[in-house]
Amino acid sequence: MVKFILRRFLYALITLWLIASFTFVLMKNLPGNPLGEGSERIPKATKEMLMKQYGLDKPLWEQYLTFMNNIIHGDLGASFQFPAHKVTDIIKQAFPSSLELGLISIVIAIISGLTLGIIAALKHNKAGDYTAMFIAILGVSIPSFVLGPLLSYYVGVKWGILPAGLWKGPSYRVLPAIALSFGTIAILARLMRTSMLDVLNQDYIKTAKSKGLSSVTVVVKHTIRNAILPVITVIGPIFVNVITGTLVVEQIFSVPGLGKHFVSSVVSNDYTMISGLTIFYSSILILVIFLTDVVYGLVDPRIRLGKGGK
Amino acid sequence: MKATKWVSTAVALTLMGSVAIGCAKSGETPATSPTGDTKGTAAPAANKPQEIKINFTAEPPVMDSSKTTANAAFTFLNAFNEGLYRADKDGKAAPALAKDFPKISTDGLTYTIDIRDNANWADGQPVKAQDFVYSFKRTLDPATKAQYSFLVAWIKGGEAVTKAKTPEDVKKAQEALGVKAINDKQLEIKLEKPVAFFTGLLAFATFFPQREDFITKAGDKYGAEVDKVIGAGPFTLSKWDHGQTLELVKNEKYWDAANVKLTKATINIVKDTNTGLNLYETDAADLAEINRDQLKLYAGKPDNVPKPELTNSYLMYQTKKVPALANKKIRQALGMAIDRQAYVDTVLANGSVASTGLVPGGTSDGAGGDFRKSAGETQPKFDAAKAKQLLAEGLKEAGLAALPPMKVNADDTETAKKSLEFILAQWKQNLGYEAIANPVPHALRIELSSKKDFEIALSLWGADYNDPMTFLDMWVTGGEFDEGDYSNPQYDALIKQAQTEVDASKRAKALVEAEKILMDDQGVSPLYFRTRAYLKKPNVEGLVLPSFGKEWDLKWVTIK
Repeated sequence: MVKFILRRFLYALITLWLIASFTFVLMKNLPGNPLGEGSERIPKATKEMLMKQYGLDKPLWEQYLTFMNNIIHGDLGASFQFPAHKVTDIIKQAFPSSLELGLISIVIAIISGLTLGIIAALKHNKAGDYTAMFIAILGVSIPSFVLGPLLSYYVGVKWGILPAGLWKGPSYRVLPAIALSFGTIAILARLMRTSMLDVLNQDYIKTAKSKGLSSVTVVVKHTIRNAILPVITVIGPIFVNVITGTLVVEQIFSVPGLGKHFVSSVVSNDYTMISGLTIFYSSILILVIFLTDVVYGLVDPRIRLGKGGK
Repeated sequence: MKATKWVSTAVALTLMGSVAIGCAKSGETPATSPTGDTKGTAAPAANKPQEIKINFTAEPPVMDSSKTTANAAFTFLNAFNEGLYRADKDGKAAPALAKDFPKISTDGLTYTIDIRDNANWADGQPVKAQDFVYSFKRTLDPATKAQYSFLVAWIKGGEAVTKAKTPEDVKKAQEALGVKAINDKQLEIKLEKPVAFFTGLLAFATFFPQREDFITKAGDKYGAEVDKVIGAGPFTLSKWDHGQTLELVKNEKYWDAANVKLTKATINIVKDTNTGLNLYETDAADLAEINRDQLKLYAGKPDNVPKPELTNSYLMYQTKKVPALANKKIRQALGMAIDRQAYVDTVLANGSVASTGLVPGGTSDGAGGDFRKSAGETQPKFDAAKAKQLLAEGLKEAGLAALPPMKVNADDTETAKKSLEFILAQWKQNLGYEAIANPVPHALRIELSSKKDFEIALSLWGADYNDPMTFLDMWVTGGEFDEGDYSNPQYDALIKQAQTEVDASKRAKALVEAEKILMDDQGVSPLYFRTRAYLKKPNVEGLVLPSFGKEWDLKWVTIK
């Protein structure tokens, strides 16, 4: 098992190194320079001096080695756009909002998605099923960049029930969280429904019923418990997707998260920020995949004993 | 069956409960006050809280007057700090930390300025002449990496500081710099050559005073956090939640505090204009910038306030690499074939004005007048028939049968793409010429232009200071920003004359003449003078939307 974990860890490190190197190559191919707003009016001599001070005049291989060396030492450098801020500080400041929004929306998605899925399965081919699946289809069909403005306008402006934007108190979290969770609700509802229907048709459910167990016990203890397992396995990747995919929702509701830095750093050639964010998000994703692998390995020994797994 | 119903109901109730808890925990009263607005409980108009909420599209990168180049930062610097002069409500420089206008030597090179006795920093310390000397030297020091140091380099010996290689050389050059504190309250500045608009330039944030003790203490974080900035302006920065909110409160130690009525300004970072409009609609914002489509909703309403800018848009031609564009008549034809009025009415529709020359309306002529009024209409008018004739003559002169298909570079923003579409359609319709649209990311367009790697480019230029020179000196032969390689010795001579002329009216005349030459040659073809659209609550009075350098000035705001 230790060998298995070590091997997976090594894979994770190699993946991270490949991502970092690939990001380096891509960002060096971005047109323009990283001197930011107003750089077009900087005299040539000043521009050259600045590039020299940032080490951008050095050969690419030297820049790459410095870049990798800094990453190994946990130094993502100072942002070009925000020169007085280190990239790590910006991530520390902005990520909590993205994480909070992601967590709230995943909670909403899990509760609503599972509930809808359960209702749909229990009311199979009846009004409840159709309603739940209609909601699920809506969730899949309406992207957050459509739902977000609609919620902001109708709930925030027209009806005045909740704030239309900004990130000041708990009530400001509701609309962006709903907008972000809608798609996930749909995915989870459909998964849960399929899984529940599958379990409901199993022999052991019929046995449980014939043993005279109450319907509540059958549903809660035997059906949901078994049906929820495949759903749980997808929640990890969905969670990463939710906390990293908040750009549109963050923009629509003015959430001070990391999403906006992704776009602005690419547009302004903020090399350190681009690489820092990519490495940060990749690390989270790789960590989740690594943990999932380990857990799978623990649960199912066949995975451990796969190719070269002895 | 009963049990399944029970399970469904229980889960549904849990769901509803959790959402309800989420809302109830808020401590807000969303139904009545979703945005924290005071509407409904507001005091009578006479006692109206002097507070304002503003949508702002960008986070200030760093609020260090030496380092910043961003309008977002200049706007805040102007709120919590001040220069020797401050642009007044009409955009004209008025004494601020300086007691009066400078005493200028007859050769226009030496400025002697007295600082107000009651000019104080926000912590109560007096503003000293040394604070300006320190600020200018710091900006020029290459180690500061100040991108706008070229403005300060107009001070005698300034360029030598920016070019110094070692810290010792920097120190030596700084000692020779033409700026000194005669005493705590008197400053002397010597210039390399006369700069007619230098007094106005001293109102620009790059020339604001800086406190050496404060900067030394703040270190690398100077200008990056709320407790790492200090100023001597009408407000102090009281809150800076990055990416979210900034707050300004009245600075009671400001020399003109009696005339500052606003007690608090909350600035929310809102990048999306639709969200901005929603916040404005729910009274969560008193000031918001809007786009063209949103402007239609507010046509004729008092909320709608245009912000004319000292920014122009123009077509630039690469005259060296593209033989056809070296021909004056061909350039004239291309410029004349575009109906600018139709362009601003249909493509922009945001209050922008069709250009009548290169220098935007509202630019001072440097001699107390308005440049555009002094110069009149220097740009050839739209005339499709004449354009066609000029093209034919030009092609003949250049020995060409037809214009080669040329690429027109532009940004890939929505507005720029629509502009490209319009311009190309005009050329096709009025000249029968088909050019190729080439929308590219902003950074690439800038890079291609600076390498002179283009045929025709659609560009924008905003003023660094309120003087026609900021638009005109770009096009002198071999000039750093003359990316189209335009050249006319007469033009060069006039600009050179204006750069050394001490007599303001003679200088203004030379600049007008220069613009006429540039427009006749169509070295560049201007298209429009930009206006941006804002919404402002009608009860907000005295808000200034300056035409360049910053987004707004809150000094004179009152809430009625």
